[in-house]
Amino acid sequence: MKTKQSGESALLLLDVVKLLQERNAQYAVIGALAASVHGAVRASMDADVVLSVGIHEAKSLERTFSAAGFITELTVGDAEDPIPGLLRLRDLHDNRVDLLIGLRGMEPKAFSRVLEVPFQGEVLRFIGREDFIAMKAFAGGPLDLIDAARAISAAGHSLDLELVRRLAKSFGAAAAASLERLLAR
Amino acid sequence: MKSKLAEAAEKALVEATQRLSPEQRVNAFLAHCRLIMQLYEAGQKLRSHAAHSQS
Repeated sequence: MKTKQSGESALLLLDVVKLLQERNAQYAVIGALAASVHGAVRASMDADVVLSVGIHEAKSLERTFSAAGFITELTVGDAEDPIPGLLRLRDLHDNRVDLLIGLRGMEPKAFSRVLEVPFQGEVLRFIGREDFIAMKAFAGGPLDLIDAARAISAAGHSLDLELVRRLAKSFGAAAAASLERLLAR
Repeated sequence: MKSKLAEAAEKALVEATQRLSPEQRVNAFLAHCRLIMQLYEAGQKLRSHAAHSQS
C-alpha cells in the first residue's frame, strides 16, 4: 500500500481504485475530496467513493479487498436508506475509504460525466460538478450545504442550471428545494 | 449571522482554490489532511504528557 502514516486516505484511495479498475467497476470520487476539486480544499479523515454495483457484487468486492490486505466492513442499509450499502476499507494507519454501494436517486449517467484528475502519477475519476452539487443538496447536512454553495460559487456562470435542477429533482422534492435556496444566495 | 467580511473571506477561499489546477487541489487535500493529523497527534501527546505530570 502507498500509505505510510495517518492522514493519507487520498493515497489509500489510489490502491482502492487500482483494484476497482481491475474489476471493471465504475466509480466516482465524492465527499471532501470532490469538494476540494469543485469548491474549496478541506481536510477529511476519509475518502468517499460511489460505485455502480449492487450488494451481491459488493460482497465479492469485500473478499477481493480483504485478500489484498485491507481491513474491510460491509454494512447493508435498510429499505428506507438512500445508501443501499457501505463497504468501509481501512489500513493499519487508520486511513479510510468508504465505498457507497450506489445512491438512490443518482443518475447512472453520472458515471459518464466524471472529471478525470491526475494524482501521484495515476488518474482519479471525480463526480461531475452538477452531480456533486445535486448530491450535496440531497445530503443536506451543514457541511454538505457549505460544499454545495462553494461549488456553485466556483462555477459562476458556467454552471449548467438545467442539468443541476434536473439532477436535484431526481433525488426528490426536498433536494430540489434545497438547491433552489442555494442558487438564490 | 450575516457578515460582509465573512462572505468576502469565503469568496476569497473559493477563488484561491480555483486558481490551482485540479491536480494541485487534490495534492493540497493530501497535504492538508497530513497536517491536520500531525496537529491532532501533537495534541494527543501533549494531553498525555500533561496527564502523566498531574498523576
